[in-house]
Amino acid sequence: MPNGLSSFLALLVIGGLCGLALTQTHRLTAKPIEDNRIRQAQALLSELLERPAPTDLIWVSGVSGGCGDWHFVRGAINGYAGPISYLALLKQNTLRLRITQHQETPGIADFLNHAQDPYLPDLDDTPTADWAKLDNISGATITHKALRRMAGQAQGLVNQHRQRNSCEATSAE
Amino acid sequence: MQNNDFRRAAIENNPAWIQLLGLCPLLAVSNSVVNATGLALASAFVVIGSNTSISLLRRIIPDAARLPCFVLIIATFTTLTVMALEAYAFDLYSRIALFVQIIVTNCMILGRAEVFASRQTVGRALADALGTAAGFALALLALGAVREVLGRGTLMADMDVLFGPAAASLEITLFAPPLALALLPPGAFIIAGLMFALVQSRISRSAPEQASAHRGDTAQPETQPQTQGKNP
Repeated sequence: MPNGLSSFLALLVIGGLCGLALTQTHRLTAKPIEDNRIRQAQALLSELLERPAPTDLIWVSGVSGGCGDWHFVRGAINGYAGPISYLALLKQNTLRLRITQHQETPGIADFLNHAQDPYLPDLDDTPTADWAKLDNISGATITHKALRRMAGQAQGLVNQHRQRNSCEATSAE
Repeated sequence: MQNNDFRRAAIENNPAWIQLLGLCPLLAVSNSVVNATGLALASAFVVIGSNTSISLLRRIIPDAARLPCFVLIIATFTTLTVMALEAYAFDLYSRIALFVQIIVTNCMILGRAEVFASRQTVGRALADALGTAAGFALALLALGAVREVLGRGTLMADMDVLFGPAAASLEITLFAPPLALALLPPGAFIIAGLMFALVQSRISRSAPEQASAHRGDTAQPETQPQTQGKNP
């Protein structure tokens, strides 16, 4: 058998075995992983709302909450090292913000991790308009700018959502 | 033979203390015993699985493409570990996920695959993998314990995230944390440097003793006939 062909067949066998192991493990773990992610998201929603969040939220274009006086918003804004995903609660012109995923530099952008750093929890219920006036954080200007843009984006998405659903003007706008 | 392979991989060629391999996760994750234990178990699974598989497949792995094959096998075991952690130890996964994912680039594991597993029988490759995993775990746990005690004043805190609610009682509170720096990256470098220096000093101290003992052993057969000859 030619050398190249035997190498190709060997790679095919090894790749096949690896693929088989991965797909079988995925079949076993997919359900618990999904459950864990839902549990984590639900815990974050409840933390923001300060009471158990409804489990039947309907998300339309990243916004949930129908025409009520509060809305959850999820989205992403580019930071220094890629997209930063967030979850926000807009309630009567105020905003609570949490970062759900980011790739910013560890140590420099630790203020994004609400479990480690009180920066974001301390800003809870800050009026949305005031987020744009926040002082920058030295050494993390791009990351912090992304944070301020999230507030604007979240407010914009909620406004669009309420217009789309012909909601009456409330304090959430 | 296999005992020698284990001992050599775990102690004499300890991947962290002697070869200074895998230092990135070692320094980053060792701020507590529970994190260190999690990474040690994950690394052990990957090194044991990949060493054994590479040794089993060594006759069909083409020499020209051996490194991509090794990386493919190591990446597979790393992904299996990530999936298992995310499914069954989610809280621990949230803490150390990044460093579990980069096990695939850990030169300790690729090094053992290239230097040992691809040339030896499954039994010897397994013994070498067990030794490497034990040596890395030893270094991780020692560093994790020192940093947790100095930085938090506790030992084995939060073990429940890895071993379930019953393990919460393993926590030992020693004293008020005297040195918060120990939990930070500079503290990791300083403490690891001191521990490496300690290990090196022990080795350099024991090396002349071993050499002299070895000289004594080899000199004995030469001197014995002389003394015997002088005896009446």
